[in-house]
Amino acid sequence: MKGKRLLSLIGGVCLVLTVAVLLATGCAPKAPVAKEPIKIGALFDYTGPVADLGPKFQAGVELALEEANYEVAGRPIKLIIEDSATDVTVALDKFKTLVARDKIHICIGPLMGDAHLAIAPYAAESKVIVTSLINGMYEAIPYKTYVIYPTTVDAQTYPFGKYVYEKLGYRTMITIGANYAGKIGYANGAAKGFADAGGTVVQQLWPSVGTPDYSPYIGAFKTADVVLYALEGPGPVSRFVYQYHQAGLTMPLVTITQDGDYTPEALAELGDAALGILGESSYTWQLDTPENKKFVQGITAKTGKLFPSCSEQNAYTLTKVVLAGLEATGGDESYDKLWPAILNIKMNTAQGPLSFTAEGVAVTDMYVTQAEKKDGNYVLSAFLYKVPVEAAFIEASRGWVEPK
Amino acid sequence: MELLLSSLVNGISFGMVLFLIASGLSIVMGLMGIVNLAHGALYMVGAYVGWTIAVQLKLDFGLAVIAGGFGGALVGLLIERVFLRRLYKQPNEQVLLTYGFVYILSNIVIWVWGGYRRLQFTAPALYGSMYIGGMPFAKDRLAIIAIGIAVAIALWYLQNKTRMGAIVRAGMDDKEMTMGLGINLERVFTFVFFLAAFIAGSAGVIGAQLLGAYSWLGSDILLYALIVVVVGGLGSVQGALLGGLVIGLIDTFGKALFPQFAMFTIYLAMIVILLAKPSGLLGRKV
Repeated sequence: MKGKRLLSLIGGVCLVLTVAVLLATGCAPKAPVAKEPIKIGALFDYTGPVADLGPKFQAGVELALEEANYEVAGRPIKLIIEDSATDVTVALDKFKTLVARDKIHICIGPLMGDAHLAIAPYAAESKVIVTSLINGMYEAIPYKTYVIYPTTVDAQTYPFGKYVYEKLGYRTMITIGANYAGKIGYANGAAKGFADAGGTVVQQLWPSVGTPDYSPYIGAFKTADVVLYALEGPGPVSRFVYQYHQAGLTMPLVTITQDGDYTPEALAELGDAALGILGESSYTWQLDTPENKKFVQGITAKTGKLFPSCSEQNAYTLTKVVLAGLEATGGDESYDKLWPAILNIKMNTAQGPLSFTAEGVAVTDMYVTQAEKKDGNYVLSAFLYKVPVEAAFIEASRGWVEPK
Repeated sequence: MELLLSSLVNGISFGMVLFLIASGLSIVMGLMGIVNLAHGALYMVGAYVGWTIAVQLKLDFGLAVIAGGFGGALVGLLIERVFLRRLYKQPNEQVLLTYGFVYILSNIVIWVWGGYRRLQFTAPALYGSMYIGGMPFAKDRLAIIAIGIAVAIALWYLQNKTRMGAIVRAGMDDKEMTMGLGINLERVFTFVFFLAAFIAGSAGVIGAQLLGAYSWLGSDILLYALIVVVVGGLGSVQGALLGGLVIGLIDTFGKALFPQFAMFTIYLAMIVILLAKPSGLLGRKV
């Protein structure tokens, strides 16, 4: 009897010890714990000269997140959007707020090149990865927190400058660009490409951002074979084209970021004044690829608009890039894991094949399109020419010296 | 030569728009002693009302000019009757109140018309350019110059050749004596404010041929208008006209000839003119 009690006691002790060990090693069933969301900040312009682009970027980001069910690698995603108001100081303030108050891990945008330069040091210090929206600044590369897409401003327009000389046959060119870092880079990249191909840039003009009336600059144009304009968005571009037309000048116009600037609304407003203007675009909705068809279908269903532009596409693809990076790290949003994961991404996007340089600059093709009238509607044509962009253009497009 | 002529037409047409906006501001300041910083916002309201009529509803451009005028005038009248009449002889409070209206009206415009900047618009007949002496000139700019001259003559006539103009001038020189003669100066004030706001609203539509319509137009154009009033001198139609033309031409030639200094040329001109003539080029001593 005594032995029986002893055995029971030993058995009880063993049972207690077993439960204790199981608890200590974590094998006991746990209560479910909610995973922390990954916070993606977004800086878009809803007011100011490029106010019309904000909703387009937002639609692109939201579509990509909706496709992912606002979740990546088992973690929920929280999107926090702020208005950068087409103003560099506002963009910087809002970015600091997103980082300090909202504790974002990644930021999509802002758009303007000078805003990139303003926030780059703080982004690097805070180890927050930032993506450009429509091209980025060469000067932001050393900070190694900038995902520059589709490429740097100069590298995008450099091959187009060559194209204007070699394929269109123009020999002299005037450039007019908005006086801020981004558009100066676009205009100078095109000027360098044009000059490297053998052309002569006879004049460069720099109206300030938000110039309401371009006529004084148009009146000061010298004579050239072609005028290239690089202004800050659809509104300023439309004003310039309208006033150029009103002034009765006949030199042909070419442009950059045509797809972003020639929105269906802008084309409808401009009417015949824009017809025939050739431009370089990073995207055209008419690309015949499965990725693009899926994107166009999705954005049309979401916004009700038939012709998405590079604004929606860039935001969509950049969000996809961020999601792919997070997927590769298993949901680890830390800079040290996410930055190399993004640089290793190779994917087919709505815009075409995409890869990155070791510095975080995307390498993608560009397209030449033209404003035309089709079935009574003013639209951009399908691409007339594919402009291959090489990583080497990032350096080759630099170092332009303005003619005196 | 081409640069000179095109800049001349560009500068005079822009100067005429500045004259239209500044004339009302100048008279209201001179007669009523009211610093109405919302005057530019009334111009903006007029531009948007005109856009709705001419572009959205595709109605006559002339009708848009009149509707824009009434749009600006009604908002102006509301500000004067409900708020400003309580703040006569209180310039600090007037400045705060009316600048507050710049923000309020800008936000209302964003709510009603959206943040998208509206492109320039004009009458179908004024679209494109016409050749004079082998040189192309924008038709809408030539029309603006003609309208500006007509309004300047009408305002000059109203101010100098009519009984109402005599009362206004008397009120500017000696308010107490004018009221002592049995003239209801408050009613005159209201009429003048209404007229100034009407011209501002109409100017918004006329100026939209060059500048379009956008939500921060109120503060952009106000800055120009204040410079024109300072340069031309307070309280006279002729001063506003001269100031508008001087600033319009300096701004245009500055951008065409010295684009790197384009942001400073009008301020530089203002400093030089103020040093030479502190009361403005044709300012009344009030």
